[in-house]
Amino acid sequence: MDFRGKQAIYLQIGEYIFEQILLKQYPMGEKIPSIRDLAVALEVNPNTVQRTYDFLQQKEIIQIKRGIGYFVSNDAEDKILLFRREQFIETELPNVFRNLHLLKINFEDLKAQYQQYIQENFNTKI
Amino acid sequence: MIKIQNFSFGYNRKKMLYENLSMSLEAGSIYGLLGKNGAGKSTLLCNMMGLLFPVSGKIEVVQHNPQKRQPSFLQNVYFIPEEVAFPSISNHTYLELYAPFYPKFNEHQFYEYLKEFEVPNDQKLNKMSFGQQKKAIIAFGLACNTQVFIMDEPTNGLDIPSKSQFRKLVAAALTEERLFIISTHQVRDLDNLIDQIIIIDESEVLLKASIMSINEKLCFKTVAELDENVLYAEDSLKGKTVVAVNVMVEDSRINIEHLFNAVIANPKRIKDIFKKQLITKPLQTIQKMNNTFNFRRFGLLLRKTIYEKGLVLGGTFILVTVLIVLSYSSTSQNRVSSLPQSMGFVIGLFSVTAWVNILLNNFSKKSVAASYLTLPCSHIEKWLSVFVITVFMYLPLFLVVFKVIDTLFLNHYRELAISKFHYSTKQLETDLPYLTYNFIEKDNLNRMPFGFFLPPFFGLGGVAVVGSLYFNQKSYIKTALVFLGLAFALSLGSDMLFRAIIGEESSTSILSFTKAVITTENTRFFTVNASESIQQIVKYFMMIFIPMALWLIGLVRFSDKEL
Repeated sequence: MDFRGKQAIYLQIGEYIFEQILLKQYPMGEKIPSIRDLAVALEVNPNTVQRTYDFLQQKEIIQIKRGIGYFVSNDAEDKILLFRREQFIETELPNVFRNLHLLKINFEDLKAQYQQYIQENFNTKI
Repeated sequence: MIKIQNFSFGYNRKKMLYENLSMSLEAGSIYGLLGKNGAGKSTLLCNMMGLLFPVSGKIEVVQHNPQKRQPSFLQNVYFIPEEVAFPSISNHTYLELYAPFYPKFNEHQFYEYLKEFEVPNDQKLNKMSFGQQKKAIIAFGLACNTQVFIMDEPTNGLDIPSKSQFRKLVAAALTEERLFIISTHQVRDLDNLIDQIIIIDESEVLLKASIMSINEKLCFKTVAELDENVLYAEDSLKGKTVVAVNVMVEDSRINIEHLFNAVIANPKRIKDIFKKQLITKPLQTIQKMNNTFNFRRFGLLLRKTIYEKGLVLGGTFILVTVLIVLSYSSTSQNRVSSLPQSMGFVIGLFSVTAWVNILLNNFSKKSVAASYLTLPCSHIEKWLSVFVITVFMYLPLFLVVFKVIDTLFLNHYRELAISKFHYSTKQLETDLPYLTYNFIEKDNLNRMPFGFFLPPFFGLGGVAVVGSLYFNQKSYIKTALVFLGLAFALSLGSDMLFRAIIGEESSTSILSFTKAVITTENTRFFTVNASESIQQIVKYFMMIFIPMALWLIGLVRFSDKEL
């Protein structure tokens, strides 16, 4: 895996696991790779993966079953959405707002555009 | 697992490379040792492995003093120097010969790793490319499952897929009980593999911190403008890429190259940010077990040595045989004496030096020396292996071969004398005594109760041992000069002594310490012998004490030999 992002590696590994869970590669309630296996696959230090798993456990996205391994929580998807929402609002939204302000974009115009985009790409109405 | 206290080291006493260095490394981590070329990375690693000795201070590795190079220490650590050197054997043979020295060696892992690295199995190790050799030794080292695994620039010479394989293998091999140290100046190869970073520069440890604490204390980002928190900045497309004090508690990806530059540029500030942890735990007592002599280990060492060097030893012996035969072939020119016999014999005795030098030529190349010195065997075992091979293999082999040559030649000449020149057996004995004089025969040996060939044999062997161990490549010339000087000084000394006692007219014959030849005006010369007891003392000194002393010096040298 190529770690390009600006985030710390352990968080990037976390993102990778989120993706796998959201893409159903790691189904909810099922076991995920062991720390060692994931470290080998990603060519990173097992202690870094350990830190990722600790972090995910703390966010209640995965659970440890002693002696068996790590499992995806049953409400992992919700937790991931919750976490990502928080993260988006905290880190990315300020940038969006800043650009909206700098480029003098009307917030109301944007709403229409947003709805059109959702319709075109996701075929759902809000 | 590794503790360093007030460590100082320098290649010469005036210019110290390290001064008063203290740090401790714990198991369960992969330490990245970073530094510029010549910063002293390899030197530090060699000190941890007992290949170099600290000038002052203490190093403790897996509860041992590395300097002693005890087998119980050596079998629990593995060191891969930057350059590797293999004997001319295959993977499989290497495993057979070397693996038994490491109790936790796992054969299955070894072949598995070789497969991962795509190292061919059917090739001789020394014929492989540098990268392949490096991969083979990494595979072997990993499979040894030692607690401490030290690699000096392991990714040098590895191709791109191998670097990736290397990271996978090391990641898989790390356990809570193991400690890896990887020194490198190519940080990109190991970026995410190491979880503890040690940066040394100008003989100082500028930074020793875990990735986690670096994450906490520093942040790596791109900014538009520099502020006072910035430690290091580099222009990039989007602005300035900086390393800054992490005041906002950001979680950023560590760029080790930038970190390295930041540390080198601001050593003081970095030190303030990462306050040094002091070692509080006292050094544990060093365990001692089974470190002097072990028969199994000794057997393995003999087997390995003979397997690796057997061909060269054998080849040298054949050359010696040729020399002896050549010496005999000059018999026709020397009808009156047994000179060819003695010459052949002396050649054979002297050639023991060649054998010893082959057995100990490990020190002419650093990589070979490192592998020999870190082989889990005690000093006595290594020393004894040289002794046993020369005394119990060379000597009998030489005596048998010499006897055969001697008998064949003498029989041939005797037959010639009888058939062509019609000598009778009695005439032979009186007219051509040298043809009936077998060199190694009972009466001959009885005449010289010492076994007249043994002391010079041991003496010559000892000279070669001392020479090989003290002078590395230039062993022969340097040793020769030193001993020539010594012998010259001795004979000159005895000569002067006699002159002082008897007067100007006397002189001793060279290298005869018990006899003086005195020339006066009346008689042309007469000889004076020292008393029996003095003669005995000199004899024992020359024939027993000196050879023994030489071999013992060799044994001592094994323990204080540095890379």
